[in-house]
Amino acid sequence: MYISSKASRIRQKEAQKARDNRAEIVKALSLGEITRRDLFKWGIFTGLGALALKNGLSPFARSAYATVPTGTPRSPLYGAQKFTTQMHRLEVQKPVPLTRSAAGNAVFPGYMDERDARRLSWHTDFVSREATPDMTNPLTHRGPIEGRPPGEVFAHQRWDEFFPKVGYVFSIGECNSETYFHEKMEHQQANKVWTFGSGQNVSGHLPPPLIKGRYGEPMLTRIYNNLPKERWKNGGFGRNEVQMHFHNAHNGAESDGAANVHHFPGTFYDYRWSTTLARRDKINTQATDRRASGPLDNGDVVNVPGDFRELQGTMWFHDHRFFFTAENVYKGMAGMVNYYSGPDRGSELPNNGVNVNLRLPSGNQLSWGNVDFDVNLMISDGACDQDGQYFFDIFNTDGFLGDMPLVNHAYAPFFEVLPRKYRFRILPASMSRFWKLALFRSNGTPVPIRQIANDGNLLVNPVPLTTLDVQGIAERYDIIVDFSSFAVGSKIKMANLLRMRDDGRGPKEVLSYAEALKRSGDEDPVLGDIMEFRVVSSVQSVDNPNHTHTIANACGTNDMSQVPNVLTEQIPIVAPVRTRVVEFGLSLPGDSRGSDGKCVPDCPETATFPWVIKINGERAHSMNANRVSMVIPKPGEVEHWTYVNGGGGWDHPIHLHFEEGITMNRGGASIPATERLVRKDVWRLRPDGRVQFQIQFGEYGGSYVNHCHNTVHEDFAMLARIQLLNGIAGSPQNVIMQTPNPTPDGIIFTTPEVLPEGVPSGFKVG
Amino acid sequence: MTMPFRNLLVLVVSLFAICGHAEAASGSPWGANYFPNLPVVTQDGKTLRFYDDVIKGKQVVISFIYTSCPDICPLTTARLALVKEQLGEAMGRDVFFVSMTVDPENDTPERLKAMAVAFDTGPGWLFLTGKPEDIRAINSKLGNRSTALNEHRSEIILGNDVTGDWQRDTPFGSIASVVYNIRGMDPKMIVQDTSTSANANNNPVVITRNPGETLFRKICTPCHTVGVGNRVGPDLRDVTSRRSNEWLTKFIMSPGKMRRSGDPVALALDTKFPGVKMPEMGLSPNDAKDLIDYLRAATDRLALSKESVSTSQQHDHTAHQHDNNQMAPSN
Repeated sequence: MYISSKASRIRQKEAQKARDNRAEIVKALSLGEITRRDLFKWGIFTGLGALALKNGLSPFARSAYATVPTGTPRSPLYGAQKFTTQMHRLEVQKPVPLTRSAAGNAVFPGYMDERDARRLSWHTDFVSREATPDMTNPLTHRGPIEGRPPGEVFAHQRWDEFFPKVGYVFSIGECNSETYFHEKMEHQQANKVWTFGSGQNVSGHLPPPLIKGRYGEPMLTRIYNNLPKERWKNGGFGRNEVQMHFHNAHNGAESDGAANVHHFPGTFYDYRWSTTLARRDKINTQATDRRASGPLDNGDVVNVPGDFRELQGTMWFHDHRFFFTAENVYKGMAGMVNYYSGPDRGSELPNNGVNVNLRLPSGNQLSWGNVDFDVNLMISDGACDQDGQYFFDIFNTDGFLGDMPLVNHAYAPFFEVLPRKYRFRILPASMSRFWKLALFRSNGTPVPIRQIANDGNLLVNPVPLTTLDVQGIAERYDIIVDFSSFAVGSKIKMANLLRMRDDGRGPKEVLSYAEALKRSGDEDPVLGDIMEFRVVSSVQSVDNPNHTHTIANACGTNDMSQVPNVLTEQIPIVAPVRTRVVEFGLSLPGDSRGSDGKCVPDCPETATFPWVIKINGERAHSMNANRVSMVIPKPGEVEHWTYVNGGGGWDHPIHLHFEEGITMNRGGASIPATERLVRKDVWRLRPDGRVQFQIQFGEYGGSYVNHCHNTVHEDFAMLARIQLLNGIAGSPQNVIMQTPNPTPDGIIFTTPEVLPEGVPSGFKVG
Repeated sequence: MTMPFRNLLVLVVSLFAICGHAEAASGSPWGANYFPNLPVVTQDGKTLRFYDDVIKGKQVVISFIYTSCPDICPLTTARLALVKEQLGEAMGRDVFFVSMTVDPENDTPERLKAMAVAFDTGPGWLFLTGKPEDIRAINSKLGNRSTALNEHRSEIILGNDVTGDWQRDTPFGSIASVVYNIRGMDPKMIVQDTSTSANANNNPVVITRNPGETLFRKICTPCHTVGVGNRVGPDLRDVTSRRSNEWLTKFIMSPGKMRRSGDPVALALDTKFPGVKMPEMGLSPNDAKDLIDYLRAATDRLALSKESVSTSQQHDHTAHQHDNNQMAPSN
């Protein structure tokens, strides 16, 4: 099934040769240069007419194919060894100040030559009678300049209340010529990596961006689509239509980037990232609680309304173009956002006045948002073709596994640390791979870890661990590692212990470190060590490039950081207004088993069809639809949702947009301390597993989705649209909205299917 | 108050290029070097080369089927048949449908032919079988890599070999959106007029409280009508009088079980509608009750409307089609 390490070079060549030879034979055959009879004579065609499954001829000969990466020979490494390239830090983005015009628009600084950002989309103007040519896509001369749909439904909600104070302008573009995963590897061609660049219609580059957001400072993020207008100029994968989803930030649906609102080359989309603290309309409405706050430059905090227990930290944004999410995120359309608050302000020094700062490891060169000792790690698995160019198998829908461990897009890098406390914000940005991470000393013993946050939400108490829980795509774990007991020169490895199923459909087993290392060579290079921490005596500050942190000034008693035993308070579980139970892939009485219990022709072991949903214990209904609206009739009502995986062996990572749920239980199964009563936005459902959580919605209305983060499942049954109604009479967000369908010529609206089982009993709309 | 699909279709004007026999755009990895050029056999018994004759220079919509599928595959084909009708003249001229069997051992050209006839697929739609290893090799390249029949891909694949542009889609969402995506494979397609869209979202969606109607529109209308005439399956007007409540409940929940138990009515339906079988939809007793309630009410409504009766007598399939496609609740 896989290529052993010894034979690998020969086998890999074979696999590539098979592909080339086969293409040549097919071509020769079609040109009449050879006949099928020749092929029979040579024993190349089987009697049945297929190309023989022989090494060197057929790419279907499995021995010539590794399981990892999926569907292609091993990535060429050009002699690059692990831990020989330095890890890049995510690139911190600089905001620009915005001012307010008399018309209430947000105005960028004059030198930027940016049009104003408006409450209503520029698309609204494009379709009005007064449209002028500058409202048209300047690249194609078709369609509107802004991708955000027209009209009140997609106007920025609560615009004045969260008027953007700072702006970011990005382009999604082809990568520049200096894009590579390791110095020894090929530079990537422009059409292989599509990623972010700062500014209007510029090319993209690595490493990915990091935005430092803070409560009380709403942002306007303008994203230009600077990709080629011909969608087939994509290097074999990726779609040049994008919508940027800010994963679980508390924003209006118009800025969620997942409401089927992708936009086209030549256009931009204005996302208003509000930094709204959840429960703003219900708890601490007068902003008297200092813990509900954002950091100020002067070291103080500014209070904001809302519940401090719902403060968020480690976030990310990524493309959410339906049907192309996997390709586009893999291709580079992802970045991270750290949200800073009074308690989690990214400074190790106590703040002025009443101190609410937890003083978690971060740094002290800036009054907030230090990242010297607070490090974002985006982990993924990539693959390259035999030309060393980034590769993705678009026809693989079971799960694409790469064979190159990448951290912040660098190949198995090393990272220099001081002997002190660090915080790492770990984000699996992989497509199908699940991870189980741990740190090991060179003698193979584990390094203690304290987990402090899950999916960007602080745990009430730090949880001591030696290995992290299994981590699926988008699940963010924040951990503290104390390197202070290590001598300068020590090397600590971060390793992945989770072996995937050969078909990529989910985790297979957790390995011991020794076993993972062994299989790393033979089977899957993304097992075992994936990055290295090197303990050194001085590091250059990224927060203040003129400063050098040393053992003398930043370690020991000069490590000012703390890891308090209490990080936040528990939100209690209360009696819900209603319960919803969603069961996936359950075999109902109407299954295909005969009276003998056997199936004709075979039993659906893993079908994700149908779903059923029950609300408040009412009768069950099938949800045989891919777009089911679950209507949330008004804000602030506490609900308990249960997801049940009746579908056998798959592990579904379920992602709920916009709000976090408090994980209550996993039925009768065990629940790790890092998850019990912890707020999350992605749950691995586990094979045959279930999860119950408490949730409430508030502050915004509109259309959000709730889906399996396995993109295959997302496409068929496992995507539900949630319609949040804001409860304000006459508001466009208090009715079920029509579905926008973006076209290069503008948005077309169609009517969604609304299944009544998603609507609580006795509830009427319209 | 809702926006029927046909309105969208009117907006979409396609200026299809004459495809000729151009090969995949240079540089695309998904062309002659990717798709196997293995022999395949059509529902008419004709042998074709998969790449040269089926894919090369064409825009295709590929689905995966097997004729003995007990659950949702017939629904895939039924919904694609609705897409086909929306495509009109473009079907077989600019766009070609390809249904690949995942069960080549059992799906003979004859069985595929029966299925094609049952769904009235017409020209431009190939149902392909062949040597099992060839079919599996092709399906594997198309992303259908499962060995279990019931795990086959329920999505569809849209591809334009001229541009080398391939994508996934689903037939279970909105038909209008699939039609748009198919037409969008042609880079020259333009959407004529979106100026009405600014006002479209002022129309809020009204929820019907009738769960049976919603379910019927979603999963039954691809094959059944009420008071129009037999289509892929029987017209269901008066079905609540023709059959007992108990029989309908059982049949809706598990038609396969009824057939296997030798129920004479179920077997007679098989004979009358060859090549297609009522699928197992995994419906609960509550779903069955909702559907039966809906069918009874729909029949009663028709009895009150003379106009509908005359339509029914004409067995006018096409006239009904558009209304049928409107999946949204109609107040």
